[in-house]
Amino acid sequence: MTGTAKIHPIAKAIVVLMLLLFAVVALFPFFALLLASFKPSTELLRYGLNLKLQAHLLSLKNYIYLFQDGAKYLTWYKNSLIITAVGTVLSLFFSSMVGYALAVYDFKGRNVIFILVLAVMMIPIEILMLPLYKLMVSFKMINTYWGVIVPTMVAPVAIFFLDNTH
Amino acid sequence: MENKLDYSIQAVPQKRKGNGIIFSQKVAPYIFVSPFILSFLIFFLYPSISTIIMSFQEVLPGETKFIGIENYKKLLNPHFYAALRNTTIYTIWTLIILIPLPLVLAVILNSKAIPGRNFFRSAYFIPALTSTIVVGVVFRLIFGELESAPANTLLKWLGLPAQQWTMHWGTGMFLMVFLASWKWLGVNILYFLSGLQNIPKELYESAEIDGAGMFRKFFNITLPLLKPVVIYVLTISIFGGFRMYEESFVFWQNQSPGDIGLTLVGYIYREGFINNDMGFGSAIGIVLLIIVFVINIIQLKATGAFRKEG
Repeated sequence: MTGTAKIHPIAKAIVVLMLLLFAVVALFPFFALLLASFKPSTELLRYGLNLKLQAHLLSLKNYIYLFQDGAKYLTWYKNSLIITAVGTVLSLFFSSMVGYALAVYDFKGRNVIFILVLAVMMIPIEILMLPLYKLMVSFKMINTYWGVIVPTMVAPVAIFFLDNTH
Repeated sequence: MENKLDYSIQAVPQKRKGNGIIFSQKVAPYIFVSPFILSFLIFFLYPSISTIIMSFQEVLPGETKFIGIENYKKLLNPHFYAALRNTTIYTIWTLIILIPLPLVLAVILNSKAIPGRNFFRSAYFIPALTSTIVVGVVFRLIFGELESAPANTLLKWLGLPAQQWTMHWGTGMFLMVFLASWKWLGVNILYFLSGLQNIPKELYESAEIDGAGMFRKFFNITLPLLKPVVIYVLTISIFGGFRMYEESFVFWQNQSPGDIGLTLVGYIYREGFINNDMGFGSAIGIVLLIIVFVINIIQLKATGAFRKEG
């Protein structure tokens, strides 16, 4: 368990085999995804995905379409990149601030805040979607990056993790 | 919990004199939690209150009408029961799989005796980087209905009959649990690994001197010291289970045969957005909220997360 313990070679082989099996399961869908990406959609819709290579069916058409006709793809990618980068930095900053206070201070209302953090965590965003949308409209944050970033900037999951496991 | 106490005593900052009120022990925690309070009031409390109000209303375009608890009475129907049952069973399965398995794998992958452990760590984590929706497309192809689909090919190879995966309750549940397990296994391993790294090596060394075996060390050192991480994973897994929607959506969109893939959030979506009954959708949401809240409060009380720090 710490590396100093001796493990029987057969036991070790069994463990490694099991790990390999899990790794195959974890990675197989990516192989399937890669394979499917080279096949025409008509083929996939009609015959589904099979694992035969069928070299005559494989082509780069899907990729060409992605970057040519669908030049929007790069815009989408940029959007994701900006939202992720800004969102991560801000959320790390604010969440660790709150997590720190909950973890090291014993202040009046600590448990109330803790319960509120849990409450926010358990709400499926789908429930709040409509009121949240109306709110964003009145904040004039529709169609902006901030409209996506700000509501999740103080991430309860991160606060809970930082508090609970510090 | 002893280790927790030690940390906190060390970490509490010394009282600083002359640095003004901002740095005082009394005010500082409130400044630190203020971003959360603001975000809570604006992005959570206000929309929640709207949702609660809507759950007592018939919401029509342009006008709303107060109809008392009619929406809640409507909940007593077979669709709601199916959604509640599916969601609960799904959550229980993800708890059974996604806590013990990653815990054991984390302990194994923490051992230097395992060759290629960095490869395995990355391999298990990669699924977490994908979006459920994208991966769902691939899973639908893998678990296709044709005999030539990868999953059915595997079954044939094992001598088992091919399955119509998305047509039956049992196999449908399997698909959702499998997709979730596939996606979140690596994340939970990561949580447990980070917990394992905080356990001092000396504890294991002295246990070895005392002649403790692998299992004794696991149950007497690893497990108790990982308790905070286990509670954390348990809590977010219960939340995650009850708010599950995407895993069902990728296989059936919003129409599954006999509601086999209907979940509570899926039901909210179906009634609130597709059937445009926001009032009823809100009522489902409020009931969901109460269920999850009660389960988690019980769970956190039982595991002692509401500790008071000295």
